[in-house]
Amino acid sequence: MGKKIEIHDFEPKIMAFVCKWCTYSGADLAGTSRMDYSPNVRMIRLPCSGRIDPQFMIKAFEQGADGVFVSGCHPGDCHYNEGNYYARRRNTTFRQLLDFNGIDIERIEFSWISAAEAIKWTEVIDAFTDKVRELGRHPQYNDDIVDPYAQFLVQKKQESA
Amino acid sequence: MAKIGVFVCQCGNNIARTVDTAEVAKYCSEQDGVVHVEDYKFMCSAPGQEMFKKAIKEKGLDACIVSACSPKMHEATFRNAAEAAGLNPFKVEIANIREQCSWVHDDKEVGTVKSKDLTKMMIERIKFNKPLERYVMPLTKRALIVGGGIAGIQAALDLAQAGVDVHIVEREPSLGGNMARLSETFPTLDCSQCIMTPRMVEVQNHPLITVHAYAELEQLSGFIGNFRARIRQKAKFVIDDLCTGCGECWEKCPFSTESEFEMGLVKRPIIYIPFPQAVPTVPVIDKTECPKILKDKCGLCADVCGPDCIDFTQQDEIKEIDFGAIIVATGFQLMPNVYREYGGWRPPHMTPKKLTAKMRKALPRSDAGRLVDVINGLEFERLASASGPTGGQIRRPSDGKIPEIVVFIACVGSRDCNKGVEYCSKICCMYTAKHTMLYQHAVHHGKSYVFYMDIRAGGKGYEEFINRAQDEGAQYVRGRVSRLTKKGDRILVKGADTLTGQAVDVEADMVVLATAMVPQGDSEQVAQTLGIGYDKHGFFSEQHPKLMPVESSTGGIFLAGACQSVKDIPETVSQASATAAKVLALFSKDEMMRDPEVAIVDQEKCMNCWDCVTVCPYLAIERVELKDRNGNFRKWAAYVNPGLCQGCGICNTACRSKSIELMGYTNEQVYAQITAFGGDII
Amino acid sequence: MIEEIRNQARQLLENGEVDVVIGYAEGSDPSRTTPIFVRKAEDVEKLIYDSRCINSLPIYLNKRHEYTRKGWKKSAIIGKGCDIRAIVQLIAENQLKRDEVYILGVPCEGVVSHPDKWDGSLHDGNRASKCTGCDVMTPHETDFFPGEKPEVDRSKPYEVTSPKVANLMELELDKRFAFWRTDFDRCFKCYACREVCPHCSCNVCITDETTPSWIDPAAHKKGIFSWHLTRAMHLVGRCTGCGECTRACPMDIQVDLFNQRMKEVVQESYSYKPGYSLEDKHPLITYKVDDREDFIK
Ligand SMILES: Cc1cc2nc3c(=O)[nH]c(=O)nc-3n(C[C@H](O)[C@H](O)[C@H](O)COP(=O)(O)OP(=O)(O)OC[C@H]3O[C@@H](n4cnc5c(N)ncnc54)[C@H](O)[C@@H]3O)c2cc1C
Ligand code: SF4
Ligand code: SF4
Ligand code: SF4
Ligand code: SF4
Ligand code: SF4
Repeated sequence: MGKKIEIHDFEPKIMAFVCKWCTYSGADLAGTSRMDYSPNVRMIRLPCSGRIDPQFMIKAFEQGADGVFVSGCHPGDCHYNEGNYYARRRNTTFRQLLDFNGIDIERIEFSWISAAEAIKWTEVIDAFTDKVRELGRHPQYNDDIVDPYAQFLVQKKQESA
Repeated sequence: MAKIGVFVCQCGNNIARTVDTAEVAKYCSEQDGVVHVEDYKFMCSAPGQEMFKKAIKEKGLDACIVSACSPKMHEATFRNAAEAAGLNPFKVEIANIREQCSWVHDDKEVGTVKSKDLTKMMIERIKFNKPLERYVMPLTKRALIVGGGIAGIQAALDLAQAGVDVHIVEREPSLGGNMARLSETFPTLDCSQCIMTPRMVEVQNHPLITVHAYAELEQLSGFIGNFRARIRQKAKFVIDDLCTGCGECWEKCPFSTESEFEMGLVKRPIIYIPFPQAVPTVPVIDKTECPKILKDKCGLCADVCGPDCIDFTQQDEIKEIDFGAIIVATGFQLMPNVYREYGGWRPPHMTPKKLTAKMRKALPRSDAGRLVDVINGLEFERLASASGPTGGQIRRPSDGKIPEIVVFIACVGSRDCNKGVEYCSKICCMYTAKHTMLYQHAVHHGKSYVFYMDIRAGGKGYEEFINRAQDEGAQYVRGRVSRLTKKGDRILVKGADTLTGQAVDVEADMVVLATAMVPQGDSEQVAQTLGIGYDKHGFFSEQHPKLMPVESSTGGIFLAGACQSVKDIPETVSQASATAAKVLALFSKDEMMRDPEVAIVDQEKCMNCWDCVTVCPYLAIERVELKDRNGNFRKWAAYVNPGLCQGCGICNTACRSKSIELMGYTNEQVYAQITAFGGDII
Repeated sequence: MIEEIRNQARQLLENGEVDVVIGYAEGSDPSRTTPIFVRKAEDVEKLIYDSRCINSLPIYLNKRHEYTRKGWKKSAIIGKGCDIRAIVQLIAENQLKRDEVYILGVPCEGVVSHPDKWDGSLHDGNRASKCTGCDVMTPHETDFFPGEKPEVDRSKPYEVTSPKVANLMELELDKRFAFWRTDFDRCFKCYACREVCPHCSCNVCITDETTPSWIDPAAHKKGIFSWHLTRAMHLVGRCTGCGECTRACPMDIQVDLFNQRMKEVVQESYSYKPGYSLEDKHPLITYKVDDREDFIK
């Protein structure tokens, strides 16, 4: 069976916006194959990566997400043919915008994950979680956040110590 | 206040092993709006579903969350159960705590916390779920087939045999397409006409099939189930209903021009049927050539016609017909003008020039500085065809001599990014092998060479067929030809054998080019008329390359045959039958039910920027004028046709003012989910 | 130059070709000019044009100003190049029809960054930053232009328009964040920057939405970040760089720096410049199969 989850002082909140045809199914496959990955991620299932509005990402950050993960089908595989191409352009520009605003774009990850790429899903999520953990709490909201889940994880760590 | 029920499933031990389901249920019961919770071993089992329905009825639940496996597994199950219990199915959501939680996290506490969170996000989301009703749309059970090649013929017969009313629009005077030109067909070498003509006759005689020969689709409006087509019946100057096809007129016509069907190898009269087995057998008058129409001279055909059916005043006729589905089968052409590369030669049919001999024994063709004995595959088919200009004797165009040495060149224009197309035309290897055999059968002492790049024979019986061609005497040389030049009355083929690394020069009597198969010259216009997508070459795009290969990007329009990609006959016919099956499935109900998870526009908010119109991959969004009470124009706004919308939500993202919303994934729903994850933030 | 414009304006009004001429007139003090709506032919003498004419007039062509233009079918407008970019963009976005507007193009030498900086002449010290590298000083799309219109090559990319953007980009990430954080501390969401923008023409702006309320109405920094990111995102590939948003901001926040930066991004990534062609579709509603995706895992 898989590894025991290690709890750190800081556990980032990761919001994932994924398309239901590829990435969501890829994550499901990770489940059916009993793969392990970081528990920090919460997925929102949308029909297409083209439905992932920068507005959602802004909102997620505003609501205290430390990292935002965006994913859909590989180019050419979009169930609706073109959705991921629009998503790609939106994200290209949105990242530059965040960067100009002084927000670390390492906090947004964009990845193509097909329904078969369960391993890629776990790897990318794990790596991203580690990266965001490294970056720490999203500075924009440093002072403002009360996060019951992260608090719980921290508390759990203290108890076990 | 919402009355939400939460049903936490243990999935035997699958969930319960790493998630404390009782704890999750307890947590949920404390959430706003939750009035009922269950924690049960197998929610999807019959007793589980009974419990679900009972709770809905008894507690009067107006929304339900099932915390269980992936929605891909049982969303439909629980939505149906809810419907049976009188709850709108779209008021049921699944929180995926198995694939996304219990199966991937071993730590029970972590699993429990995450399950709570996932369920909580769904509880918040479902407060904004609207009850949705499936759309019911009318359906015209009549199919239109554009293009009457083998693809169109096959689809028409399949549909008609299942009782569907079918119309075929064919722009040439006869059905048949390119297959009618072929002599014998690989891999079995059966005669093309023999297998094709019976089908053409069957089409003509079938009471449910209407053939609009010599007609074109001019405009298409409407959407799946409800198309309206404007068909232009070009003037034939012959009255269809009266003509018996006796042939008096075309036998007597004193004028002639090059025959398109025979690839310009011979002439045809001005009033003509393209080939003797044509269906329908009604001739048409070529108005660009007829001296009676051009300058009121002649009129002989009208004199000889027994039933008096020639009418020089006939006009084009426009017919408007409603259809429920459309099959596009407009086929292919051979790439025009590829061969400049080999010394200024252009396919003869592209450069009409006067022929010396009379029609029907029209060979030979005069030279005029060109390599007229370099021909393409379809021309060779005509030369080899028993019903062709030479009666099946293979004679070369210039002087009618039987060629003793023939060079076949494969991949002409195909797999050539510089001068031709990138893709492999796929059928040329096979028909070149076929051509060598036809040649060897006709000219026993002849010698044939094939210059090729690779042999691609991946079909049933195909590799065997190539082997047979080689056994029967064709000499295969791996390498490309650099130049064709005239040498006496022969053609000097300068090539190389890349296997031996030596130059190979052959003096040939005739050269046959396996020219690339490309879309019809007007395919882009046709695609625009139909409102379907096409690729950079002009082939029509399928909706999904793997899973929806016969659907076009527009609902209710299907693709058959070589108009979608290069295909041989077996593939063309399979695809045609597949489109027929799709149309039958569409026509199997009396009305169409459409998924309600489609986009809807708030037309007052809409600022008519048409960004959504631009992005919608399915052309589902229309521009409509809104009127006030007195019928005066008030404003423009977008309108989504629920018959076409596939629910991708791309428009939703494109709209800045959020005037367009995808039902089932509305901004409010997603927003609620995001906020629920965020927890309490001051 | 202005005489020719006035004559043309007079003719247009006299023969009823347009209902109004939108232009500039002398303002309340010598350093200022003010927009003017000329309806009578005799009033054309009031029209002026020089480097003090900083207002971007196309805002009056925007649908949101329909009430101002009530009943007027066709408007003539005096346009310097950058304003004409805005007009072209409005037409491309179907917010205006080409035949509803008559463009009186003026040759422009640049405008002053702020009336208070006007000292009688235009020089490097007081020129608006948007004028650096401007390729429409001879305007591109016009119905009338005084004198001969020279050919200009507009295929070149923009030059980096603002040294301020470049300076900011050179800062470290957290410094940049701090810069905006302090600036945003002052923003009180009056939305003047939106009101004045010719391309913020939505019937209901996302800020006024309540289902859901995208921009937190509370005067909290979070909502302010969201507002600025949203606004900048909505103008990607559409902002034609008039700079009015910054000029309108009562709190002196340089919001147009966002737009300038995005203009560069769009230029780098998609070689796209908004406001040059009536048929253009902005880069977020188009795509190429081989668009850049260097950031995608
Ligand atoms: C030289 C050669 C040899 C071949 N030999 C073989 C072989 O031996 N075995 C084999 O399996 N395959 C062979 N093929 C392939 C075969 O010809 C094709 O697979 C087949 O003809 C495709 O049929 P189709 O109905 O899709 O297209 P087509 O035969 O091209 O028919 C299309 C029809 O649509 C009509 N049309 C086009 N545009 C319009 C429009 N806008 N409106 C109305 N009507 C329109 C055309 O007039 C035509 O009748 C060969 C091909 C070539 C070039
Ligand atoms: S994108 Fe929005 S505002 Fe523009 S036309 Fe579509 S619905 Fe209307
Ligand atoms: S949801 Fe997709 S298919 Fe439907 S109207 Fe919008 S863009 Fe078109
Ligand atoms: S900020 Fe966005 S929603 Fe608001 S008016 Fe401008 S473009 Fe429209
Ligand atoms: S965003 Fe600012 S600079 Fe750009 S067009 Fe709008 S007002 Fe002008
Ligand atoms: S004008 Fe200035 S203060 Fe007002 S909303 Fe815009 S940036 Fe904020």
